[in-house]
Amino acid sequence: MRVLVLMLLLGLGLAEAAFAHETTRSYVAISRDGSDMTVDVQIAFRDIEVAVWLDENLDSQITWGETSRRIEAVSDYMTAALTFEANGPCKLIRVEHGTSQNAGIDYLDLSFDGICPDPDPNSVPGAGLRVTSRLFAEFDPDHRVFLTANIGGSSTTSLLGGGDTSILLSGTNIGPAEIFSTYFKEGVRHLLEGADHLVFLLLLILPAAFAQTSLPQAAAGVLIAVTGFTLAHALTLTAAATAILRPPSLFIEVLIAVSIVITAIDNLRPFIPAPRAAVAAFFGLIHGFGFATALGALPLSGSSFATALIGFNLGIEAAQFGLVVLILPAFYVLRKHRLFLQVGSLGGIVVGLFWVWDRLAT
Amino acid sequence: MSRIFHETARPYLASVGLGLVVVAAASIFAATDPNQRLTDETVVASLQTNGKAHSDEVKIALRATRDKPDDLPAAKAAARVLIHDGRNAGDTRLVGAALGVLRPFMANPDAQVLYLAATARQYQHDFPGALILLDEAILRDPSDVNAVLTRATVQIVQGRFGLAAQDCDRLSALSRPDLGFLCQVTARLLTADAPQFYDRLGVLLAKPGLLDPGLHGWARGLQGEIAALQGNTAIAQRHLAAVVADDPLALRERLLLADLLLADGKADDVLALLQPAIPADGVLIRRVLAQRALGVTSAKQTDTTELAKRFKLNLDLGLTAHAREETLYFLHIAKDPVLALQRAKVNWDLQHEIEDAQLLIDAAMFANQPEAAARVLRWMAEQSVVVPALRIPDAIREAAK
Repeated sequence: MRVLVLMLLLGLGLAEAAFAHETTRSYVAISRDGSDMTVDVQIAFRDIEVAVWLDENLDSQITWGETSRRIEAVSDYMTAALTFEANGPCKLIRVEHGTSQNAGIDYLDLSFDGICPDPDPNSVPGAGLRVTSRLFAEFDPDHRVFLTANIGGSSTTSLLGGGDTSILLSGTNIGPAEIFSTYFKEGVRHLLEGADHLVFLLLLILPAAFAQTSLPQAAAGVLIAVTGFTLAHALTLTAAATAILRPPSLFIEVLIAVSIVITAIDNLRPFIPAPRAAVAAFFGLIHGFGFATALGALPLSGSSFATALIGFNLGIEAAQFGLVVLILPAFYVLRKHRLFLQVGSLGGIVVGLFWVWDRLAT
Repeated sequence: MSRIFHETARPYLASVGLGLVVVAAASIFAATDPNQRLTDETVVASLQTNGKAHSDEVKIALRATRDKPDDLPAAKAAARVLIHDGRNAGDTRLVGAALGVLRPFMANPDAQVLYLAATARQYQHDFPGALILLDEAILRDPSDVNAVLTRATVQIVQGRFGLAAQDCDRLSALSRPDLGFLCQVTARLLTADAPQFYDRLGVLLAKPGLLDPGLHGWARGLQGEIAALQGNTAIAQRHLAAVVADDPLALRERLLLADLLLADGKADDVLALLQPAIPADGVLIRRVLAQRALGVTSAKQTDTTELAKRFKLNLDLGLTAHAREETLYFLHIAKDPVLALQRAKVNWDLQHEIEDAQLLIDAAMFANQPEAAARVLRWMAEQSVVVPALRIPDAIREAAK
């Protein structure tokens, strides 16, 4: 479970690589059902370059052409350094390769079909898969491999590296309730620790809360705006997590900051010719991609992935709901002080502009 | 009722409608797999380190190894330049790349290949791995000065001064008395002999021709360390400042000087001193401590957050290489006695320099577990360590009895 949480943190970029002792890691996802096995591997280009050079012209940029020309060498290294045994050595056959980005790091994605010897008829189906990783260990003793296995419908997560290079997987470690609970908590945590989402949410509900109406009417206005935001970001979170849509994370991070600036300006001088719920929904689409960075990085599969996705989504919604319940009465009490609305929105503009600059600079 | 519902639902429906339209449009755009849109020219990854591409030296060396994969001298030259650049940039991966270049020759390595691989391992704080390689390198070529010196250095870092002194003697016997002497001073820095070496170093530095000019920085740094260990901080600061002025990449001396300045309450000077340094953990920690002393809050928070991220990741991944910096952080910044002591113990298992001894003592006291530092005193007795500047509370001495 601890490994699952750590994977999530890394995916969210909360535990980003450090200067001077920048940790390296790879992600391996195994799905095995009976004798069928697939292995999806994410390895950082920066690590591959050390083991199997790709950068032909040494310009510190790797192109798709350079990758394709060396893909056999990469595959050979991978299959030598990452081995599987179930009743004997399993053979890996590469079926496709692509690229992805996780927490600002560029990864090469490799998918393999695994062929293991026929299982012992008396053994438990899918049980007893030994995975051994020496990936990049000879170049960096701190390299770690996050291993997720879905064996016969049951998920396990493990961390390989350092002294632990091998693990025997039986596929009985983590049930759906634990996965749901982990991701629900992470959804709550991500919203509460995601300053940009929080600022946007507060800016979104400010005008409704400061409308000169009764508390129920104010609550209804806030509820409508937040619902629009929620539905929209749930859509794009799901779309991104299932890899239907994968916009570049930097692009989304900048747009999130822009959404804060625009919403704050609209609070001061309404200029968007659309209801607030529509504004909320429109920008909710962008924030959904931001939320999705975490789940998109997770090599869970099948029902485990769906469980994680639902848990994470509901965690975000629960945190939003809790926040609104806590904040709204305070805003309502202050509703006659319009200065509060103006100062809050001005603050939003400043913070949003700073984030735009900071993210573009980064 | 229906009017209220209609008015309430209209913006809601509009939002969902707009959302669906945008998602549908985006889905059409993204309907093809992003990887299918890749052309041979598409850049899929940047390998820049801290925004910098490889140096020209690294490029030339790597090109040579790729042109002739069986060329051993080319591989060694590439490994050397990768280790050099990696150390200067504080980039572990670049140092690790040296191991990648040497890999084809590791099946049947010569002494130099073993030495270079050991140097990379040492930088990665894999001291046991480095020692295995160095033992083998020296076995194959007992006259390899670099291998002997590196092994002595690793022994010193791990607090085995007797073994280090043997290698230092070996250096002197290999017609390098200057190296042998500096090595001996380093190996006996923590003993009662250290003060007498201070003057001898001064004589060596004063008389031209006695010491290779390339070793002057090391000698001055040793004078600074001896002065600091004996409690002569003003003299130590002067020597260390001279080393840093001559060699801006001398990180160890820079950090030692920062510690002395911090102890003297010169936080402004610490910030100025650390301004040009690479943002390694040790640099960030001292910067935060200086900022705290000055009451600077904004920058302090940025550095503290960065350190917290780094160290949480280290702990979660079970990494040990930076336990010294982690101890400093948990002891002085996060003020977590449990984690401070835990990391101090891990660090003590890894290395036995005087900073490590002080950290374990301080962490043990902070956690109110003086017995946890008793092994420092046992080690001091075994290795005849006498350091006036080391702060040992009575509780630790009692616990060690």
